[in-house]
Amino acid sequence: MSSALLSIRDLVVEFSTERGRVRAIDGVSFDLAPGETLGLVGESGCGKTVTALAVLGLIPSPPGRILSGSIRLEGRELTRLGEREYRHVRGKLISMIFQEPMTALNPVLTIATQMTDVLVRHQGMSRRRARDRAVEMLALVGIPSPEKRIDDYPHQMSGGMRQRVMIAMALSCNPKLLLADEPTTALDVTTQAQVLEEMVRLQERFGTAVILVTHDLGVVAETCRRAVVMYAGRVVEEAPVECLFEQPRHPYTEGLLASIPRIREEKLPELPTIPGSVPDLLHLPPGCRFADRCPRADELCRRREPKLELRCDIAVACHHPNRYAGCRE
Amino acid sequence: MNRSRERTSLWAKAWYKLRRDRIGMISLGVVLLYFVVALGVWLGLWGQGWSQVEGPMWAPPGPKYWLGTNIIGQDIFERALYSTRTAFDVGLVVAVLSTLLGGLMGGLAGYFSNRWADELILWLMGVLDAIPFYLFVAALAYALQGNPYAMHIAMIATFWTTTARLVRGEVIKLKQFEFVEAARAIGLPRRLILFRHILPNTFHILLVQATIVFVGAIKSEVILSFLGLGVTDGVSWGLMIAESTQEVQAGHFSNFVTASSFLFVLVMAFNLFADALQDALDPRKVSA
Repeated sequence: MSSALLSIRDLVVEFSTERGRVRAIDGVSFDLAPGETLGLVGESGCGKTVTALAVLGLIPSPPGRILSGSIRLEGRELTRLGEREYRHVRGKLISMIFQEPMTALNPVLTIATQMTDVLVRHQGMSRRRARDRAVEMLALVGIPSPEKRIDDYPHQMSGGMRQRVMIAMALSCNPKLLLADEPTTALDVTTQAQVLEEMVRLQERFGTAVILVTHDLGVVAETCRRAVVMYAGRVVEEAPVECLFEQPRHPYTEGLLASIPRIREEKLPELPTIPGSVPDLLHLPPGCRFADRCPRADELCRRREPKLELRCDIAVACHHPNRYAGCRE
Repeated sequence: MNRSRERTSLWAKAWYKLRRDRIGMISLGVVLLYFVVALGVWLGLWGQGWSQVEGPMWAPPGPKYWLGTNIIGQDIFERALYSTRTAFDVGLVVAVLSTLLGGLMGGLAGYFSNRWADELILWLMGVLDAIPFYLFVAALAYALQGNPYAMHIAMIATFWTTTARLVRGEVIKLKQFEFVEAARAIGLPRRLILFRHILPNTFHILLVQATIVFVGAIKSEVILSFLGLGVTDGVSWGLMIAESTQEVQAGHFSNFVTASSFLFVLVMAFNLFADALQDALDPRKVSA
């Protein structure tokens, strides 16, 4: 997999807490091809955001640190970069958009200031040229009369507009990789669709690879080609999106899919859920981390942790996965 | 009108909001009036006869001496005017410098919280706060050998700690905000994150603190001058009140009432104006 843009191998991130050390992510590996969109899915607290922050080198330290593993961007090891070198990676090669467009923009600075700062710093543009470029980017993300709106303060814009501004800012230096941490969660459903569409359009135009961190499987189905499902700091399944939705192999993925609210033929008495909750990372079971909530768990599951095994594009970490019926690809 | 207002800057909006705040505008007018008085004294337009002994002792208010004369026959009105300059002198210098110092130190301590820079600044603030204020001023006055700015230096050295503590707390809070993480995520250096993204968000604290310190400095000056540790090369409301201790016993209140009223009206107006300004400037409220 030398053609991968981003390659994460056995990444372990540890946080020291008052009650002891916690591995927020424990041996995560996956690859991302240039221009690809990868969904990173899972419940809250399963390590999605930590993975994204680790890629940016923004794990708050202390208390967190990358214990082992490697993150390579175009073959360049990121985990060993110093803070100063990392700053030239952030924003220029890798960008991030955040969940809350309300708080992710500085309330006391104009959009112009915030956008030109990035361009001046990474592209070495003059203020004037950076401003022109920023206006151009705002037009690209569909902000009406951008040459006027660029002098607005964030509070003068709606949530959807702010998220567009964030996207414009993140893509303004033409990064190779965009990390989108729940970019649409805080938006209205209609705005969600527009913003997603905008993001996908720009991603195709610039050829940026995207890691879309989300718990919304609908968003994943809409935008991604491949998805990585995480549970309690581990990857449990990695598969092309069509396979994942048609035939989830890991019981956790199956549970996630079943619990999506949707319009059905008949109204269910109750929306199916996955019983129980994510295990306490301080007291992990010796076997499979999902065993306590799994309908198929047996003695083996409680004793030995399953390894992630790859078969024809689909990797799954389960002792009793759904039968493999072959993917259409 | 409506469209042009929509496109204007935050400052123009704040000004627009302030203009509609009646109490704010009245108090601004009062503060400006005081400022003009102080400016006039600086320029030598009035208040120059503060030290001349020209009238009889304790002359009653009248056309010649508007507010009467004091125990040695100096014009009380002239002295009160000159004292306005002294007050602005002390208030402005102390407010501006201690706010700058407090903002900088608080920002650094907050941004590097729980590291050595923070520990050092906290230790320094603890030490300065532990020294009784008047002892500190007295010690400095001796150390600086009659330097007229001993009082200013002492006030700046002690007043910045409150501002720094407030700013430190706010910066620690702001540091967790997503826009700071976003600023780091686009690769901005720490210097830019602290001075461009975090500290401007503490502006409302700095502003309010500056006005509190301004008023506090004027009040401290009065007390210090009363104790003989303050103004040495002029007159101030504090010195006037100190003089009046003998006069009040003799039944002459003009000196005391004049100095206290000048002080009270300025302090009151400044506080009200600060409130109005804070409401108007808060970027989170401006849009409303």
